[in-house]
Amino acid sequence: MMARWGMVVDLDSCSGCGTCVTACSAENTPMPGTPAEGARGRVIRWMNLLPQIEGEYPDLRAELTPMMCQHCDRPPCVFVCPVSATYKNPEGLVAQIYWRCIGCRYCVNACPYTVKFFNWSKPGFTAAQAACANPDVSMRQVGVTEKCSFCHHRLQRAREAAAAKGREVREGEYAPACVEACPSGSMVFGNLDNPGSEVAKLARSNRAYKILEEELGTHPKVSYLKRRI
Amino acid sequence: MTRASFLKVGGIITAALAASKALPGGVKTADGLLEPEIDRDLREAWHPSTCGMCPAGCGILYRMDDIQPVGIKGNLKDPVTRGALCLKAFGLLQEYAHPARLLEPRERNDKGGWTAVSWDSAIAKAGGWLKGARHPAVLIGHEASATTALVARFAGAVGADLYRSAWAPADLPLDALRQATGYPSAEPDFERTNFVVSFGNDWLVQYPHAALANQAYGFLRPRSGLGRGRMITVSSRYGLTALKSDQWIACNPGMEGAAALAVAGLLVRAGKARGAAREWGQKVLAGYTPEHLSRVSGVPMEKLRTLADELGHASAPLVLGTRGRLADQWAVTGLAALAGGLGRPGGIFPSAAPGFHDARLASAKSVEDLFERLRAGTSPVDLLVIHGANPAFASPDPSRWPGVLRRVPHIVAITPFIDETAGNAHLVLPSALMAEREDAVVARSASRARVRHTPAAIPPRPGVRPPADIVAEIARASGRSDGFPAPGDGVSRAINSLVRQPVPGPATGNQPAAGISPALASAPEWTMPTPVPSGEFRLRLLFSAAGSYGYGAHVPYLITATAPVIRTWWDTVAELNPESARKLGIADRDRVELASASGKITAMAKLFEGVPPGEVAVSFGLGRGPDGLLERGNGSNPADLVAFRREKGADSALWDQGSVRITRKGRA
Repeated sequence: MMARWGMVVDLDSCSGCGTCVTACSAENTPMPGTPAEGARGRVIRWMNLLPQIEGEYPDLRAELTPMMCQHCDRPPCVFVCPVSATYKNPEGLVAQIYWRCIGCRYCVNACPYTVKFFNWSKPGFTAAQAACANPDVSMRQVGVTEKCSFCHHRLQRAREAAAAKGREVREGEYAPACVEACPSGSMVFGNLDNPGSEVAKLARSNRAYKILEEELGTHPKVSYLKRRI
Repeated sequence: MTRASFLKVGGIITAALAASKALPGGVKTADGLLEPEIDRDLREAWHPSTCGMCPAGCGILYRMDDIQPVGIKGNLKDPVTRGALCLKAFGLLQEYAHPARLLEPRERNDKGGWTAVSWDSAIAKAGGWLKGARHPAVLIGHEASATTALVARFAGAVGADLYRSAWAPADLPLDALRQATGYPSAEPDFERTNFVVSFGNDWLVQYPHAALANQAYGFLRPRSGLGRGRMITVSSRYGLTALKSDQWIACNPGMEGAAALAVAGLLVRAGKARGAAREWGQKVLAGYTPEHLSRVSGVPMEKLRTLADELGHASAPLVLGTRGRLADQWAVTGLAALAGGLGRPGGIFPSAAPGFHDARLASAKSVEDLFERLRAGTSPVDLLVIHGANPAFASPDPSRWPGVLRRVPHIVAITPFIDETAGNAHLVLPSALMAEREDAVVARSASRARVRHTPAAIPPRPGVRPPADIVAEIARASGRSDGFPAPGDGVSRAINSLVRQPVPGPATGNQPAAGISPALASAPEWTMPTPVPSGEFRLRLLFSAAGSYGYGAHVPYLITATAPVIRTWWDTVAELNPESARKLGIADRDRVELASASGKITAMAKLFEGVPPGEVAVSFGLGRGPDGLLERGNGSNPADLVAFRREKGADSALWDQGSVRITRKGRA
């Protein structure tokens, strides 16, 4: 049976350090970005920390939420793509085919989580930087949309390694770079359809919630665990 | 495995076991040169190395695609970091391939620019300068590596005075801890604490060993909720640590020390003071009552009482402060001692200086001593060799440095980038990064110290050389090598010799806690911080990962991962309370000018409820000087606003001080 990959982020143990952000960038090599692009909000980072602040000094309440593609089971971006450049694959991952993308940005507008990004300019890597890019990840060109893939290339590699041993990929053999790098161990990844997996158990916990699930019914495959305070 | 290799490995293991048993607790030497890890299923190699982005020395693995590094991950086998990395490590490949890397030696020309020269010519020139130098000096940085120890040995071999820079903004109250315990450094026991109280230390962001700190945060927050640790942060600004704490106690700007002292007074008054530090506590009470300190700190008595009560009952409290004013350092150190959080599991462990044990390193003077010497001019320096230090950017009032550096007739900077200090040199020599050379570091936590010895993990960029080889070549060219190892194999043998020496681990047991009693009794009396003049704002500098050690803002993936709340990356941001900003007519994203007695800068205003009225918090890391080549033209350096002041008894200059006037300069 195909796995249904998903993630749980425990906001209680997430320290907000940002290691997931740089680990994601080092793995998936989005554009480095320039001050000019930064000023126009056009720097692409597949993973971001989303701040929410309420109250006035000194009665404040804030949260930093690691925010990446939620790999919705009912993905709004997929419904609006006119050329099927973005689609949901059999394992539930919302994928993006760069060479098929026509750059219409419908999906960017449709994504309620604002985690799809359009390449307004060339990536801007020097030759030395490009040589250090992850060879498993396609470089994106100007005019196409990109987003978190749950490090799908890692699944491919895990599958190849498992196939060499004559079996399927097992729980724990595949995890995105952000999960692997999290120093506080607050990100858990695995097969949501395996009721015994840690990710499935945590997704069912009474602290778990999904962003915009009630409002939009997108059925994200990323759950968050509320803080205990 | 052949019989010969079996015997060899067995002999090494036996020797290592014998050596480790012979050493005191917590002391470990290297396990040997780490070998690449081969993943046969995926047909890829992972080369072990050490992250050199800060002195913490986390164990990393480089994924290799043939000979090209294409990925990074933490080394799960590392006994100290156990696979944990902070966000800085993932900028290493951008650091390695950075367009501004210095890839050839350059010499200052008559027009004030740079001329590329060959390595032979550069070494001959530096060697000639050293040969004729009567008063050479060497300035090294914070790196806790074998290379640093060898550069210090080079200073000894050629008769140069040795100076070392520190990074005080991220430190614990090390000046007071050193005077109280006799140990030059300290390690917080994040792994065993169940109660962390921080007075102004935004440790989740700026603790030097960020990977361990963030890993520890996970330990304090077990997923089951059972055994959950408690975190309280006392600070004027609502930073990340305050956000992630169980309780944030807001205090008046600059009054974290007063709050710590008030809690200490309450502990003594309640008879809960532990150990021999009661005498100090009683002296505190004689000088300042908790009620008075409550008023000046702005923390209600009720909150102080609850905090004192919790500290009094905590089994493993960790009390953190900053290396700010000495009076505040003593307040936090005294409170830690009173609460039983010094030299005990879960608390702060005094420890040896970072890096390898070396008499020359231990006796190195502060970078500020070098500044004073150059400024006074009474004992001139005629050759300065710099490796891994950048005081012309990362120190209070950095503009004071170019003037004194111009008094040195010959400066040789060994550096991967032309930074602000190297920009004042006469010769810049491109150095290999940690992963591009054989090196070893001492990785430390409160309970473990380990030497990690790694070969060159990735191919060096063309034109760069290991710093230890560079100084070896200079020494040889000068004829003043005096037993200093030869470049290449000689340096490698010296590193191998260094890693076999025992490394002191953290202090264990209660000896330091007992020993601090007399020192605390003679601690200076606490004094109020200098009041902020009317119409001015107290200045707080923010040190994110992209700004710590003055190093990181040139790495795009790193700088864009910082400031998640502000989300402004390539500009210096001045955070203001919205109410304060409204009174000044300043709106979000306006350009503002900040002026102090030391200097003025411009920044982008960001209205943020987490900053108290009367304070302005300014991000550090950008505003690179005209003499360097990194990130020029982006942002300003708020260190320009901090007057150079060094308190008596403190090793480093005081960062945490000063006030500024703020004027709106228009829209961004």
